[in-house]
Amino acid sequence: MRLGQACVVLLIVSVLTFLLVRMLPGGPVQALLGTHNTPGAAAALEQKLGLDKPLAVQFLTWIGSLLRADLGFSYVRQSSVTSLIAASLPNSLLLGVMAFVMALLVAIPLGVYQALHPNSWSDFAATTAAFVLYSMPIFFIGALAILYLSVYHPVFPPGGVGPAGVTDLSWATRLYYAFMPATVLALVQLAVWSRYVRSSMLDTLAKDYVRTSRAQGLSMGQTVRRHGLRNASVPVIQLIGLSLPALIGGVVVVESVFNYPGMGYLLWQAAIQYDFPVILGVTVIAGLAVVLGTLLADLLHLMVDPRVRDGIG
Amino acid sequence: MSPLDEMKSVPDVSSPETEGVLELRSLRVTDSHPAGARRLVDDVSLRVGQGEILGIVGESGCGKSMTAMAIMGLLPKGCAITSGSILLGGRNISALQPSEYNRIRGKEIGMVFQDPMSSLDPTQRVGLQVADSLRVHTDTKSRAARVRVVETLESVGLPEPAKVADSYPHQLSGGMRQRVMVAMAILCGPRLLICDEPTTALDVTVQKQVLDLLRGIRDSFGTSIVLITHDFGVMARVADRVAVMYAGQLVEEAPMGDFYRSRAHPYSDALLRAVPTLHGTRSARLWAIPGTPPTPAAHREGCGFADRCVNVRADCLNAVPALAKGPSPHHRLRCLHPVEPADGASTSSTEQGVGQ
Repeated sequence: MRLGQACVVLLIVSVLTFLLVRMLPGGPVQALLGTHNTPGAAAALEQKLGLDKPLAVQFLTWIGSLLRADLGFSYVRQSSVTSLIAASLPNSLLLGVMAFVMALLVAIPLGVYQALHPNSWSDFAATTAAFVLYSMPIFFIGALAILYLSVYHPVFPPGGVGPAGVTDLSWATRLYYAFMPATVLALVQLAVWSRYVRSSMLDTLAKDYVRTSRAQGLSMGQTVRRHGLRNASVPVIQLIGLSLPALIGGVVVVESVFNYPGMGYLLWQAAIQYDFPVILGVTVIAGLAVVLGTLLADLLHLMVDPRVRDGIG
Repeated sequence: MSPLDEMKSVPDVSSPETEGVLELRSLRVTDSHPAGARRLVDDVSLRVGQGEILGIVGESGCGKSMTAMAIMGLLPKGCAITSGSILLGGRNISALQPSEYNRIRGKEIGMVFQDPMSSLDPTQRVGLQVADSLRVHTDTKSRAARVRVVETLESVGLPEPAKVADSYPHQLSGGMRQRVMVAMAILCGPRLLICDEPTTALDVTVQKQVLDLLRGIRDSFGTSIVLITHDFGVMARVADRVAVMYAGQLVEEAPMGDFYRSRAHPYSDALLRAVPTLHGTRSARLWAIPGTPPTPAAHREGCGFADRCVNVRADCLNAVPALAKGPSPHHRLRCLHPVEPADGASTSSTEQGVGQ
């Protein structure tokens, strides 16, 4: 059931992307030819790239090769889209997972603390900080981070995955280089997630079974661990699943700010150069990631809440 | 119990007046209303003896649940005991530190709540939830705890107790869930059980079973029970003694039989006559008390029931009457102008009430 839905979603995403990139003003032919643009050369290039065929035919050809796991060949770079993605995906994955884990590790304790001390000055302070962070664009936070932590106080490198020219990077180096972009990405997510955790935990703490647990003699802390976290996590899991697209969108921005050679950086470059196959390939992979993430969230929800397993609630 | 506490409790226990398992002394609970702290429970003194079932009745908002939560030490945020004390077995528990109170809840006082569906965590197996009381109060190993839980579930009349222990709350019926709640409350053998509207959310046949279960627990373990309800039928089935609360105050208290025979507070009388009977004629309108209970206030001049009372006189508006001796030996009453003993007076006062 859910898998079928996922396939439909992916199909719709690819159709939309396919149409959207075609609507861009200018086009790959002009971009590639630049000053050598003559009508003859343009026509020849269009034919070579298959852009002279009707849209539907182009789309079906692309879908056909997609089903054979072939994402096509970059217009601009001399390599296949698959190999470009294979080179950048691990970098993005490291960045995304790092930001995800960092955001969760801070958002959960922070949200729980706020829910346990609602309307205290620390709750207000955390809420204010969350709104400030949430209203700041990622590229702005990123630029500030580079300015203060790379330029004024050179603590972290301003970009890249490692020192220039070094190909064989150790894990430590990778983590060190990914730390600042991941933190910037995490800051924005944790601002939102801590709000989710806070409100969900507040709801949970008002439940009768929390009172029951206290009446059994459990302390507030024991009750939170025993009943609070699990019940509060149900809506949070769903919301975090739904915020995966925002996280992936954030990856694109952060990677371009930090010149971090991941999928987002690849997408950004491709978009500037009208490199259609790369744009489509990255979008499909990102769509796949979102769909998988949502499936994972559903699965987790199923594990946490027995009522869902029995088909009620 | 620390040696200090034992020393403190000595004079209380030795005094013949305080043999009760639970004793409330002039308990006052107030909230933190911006316009001044309002008295939600006002000057309530009660004693519950060993193995006694005390029923507390009253309308919603009269302070009966607040009294229960005060005894449990689980008053909502903003509410606090501002004067008076709560003695459990002679030991003053109203001044305990939160961590000390945790050792009393579930161990010496068990509590059964109104709605058995929402009172159990939907994400966890019932057996594990019940076992929590044992885990925090004793160092029972999980296997032994499981055995004990299943035994207790069986003792409250649940068929297939092992299967129940492995179920989630939504897989059980309302009556079964309430039995689970009772099992949870008695697991550590408390001397006091507080039941706040334990049958309100259940249908009538199940109500009777749960009440019989509560009485059975009293009979077998000598547990004292405080039963809070707004239903006189429930009260009459199990309670030994009745305490009527109105607007945060105790207005009348008497042994069950005396209460039925010689209730004297106009509010108690009106409450009893608002209970439908099988003997009345169909055309007779059910008696209802006119007006609504007063909202909690910081300070009250005169009797809180005055503006709804059929017996009200001028002096009722000037002073809050004290809780004094009532018409029968173990009877206490807070009223300046009580109704006549029920037998003769009830018909005439009915006419008065309807005429208003």
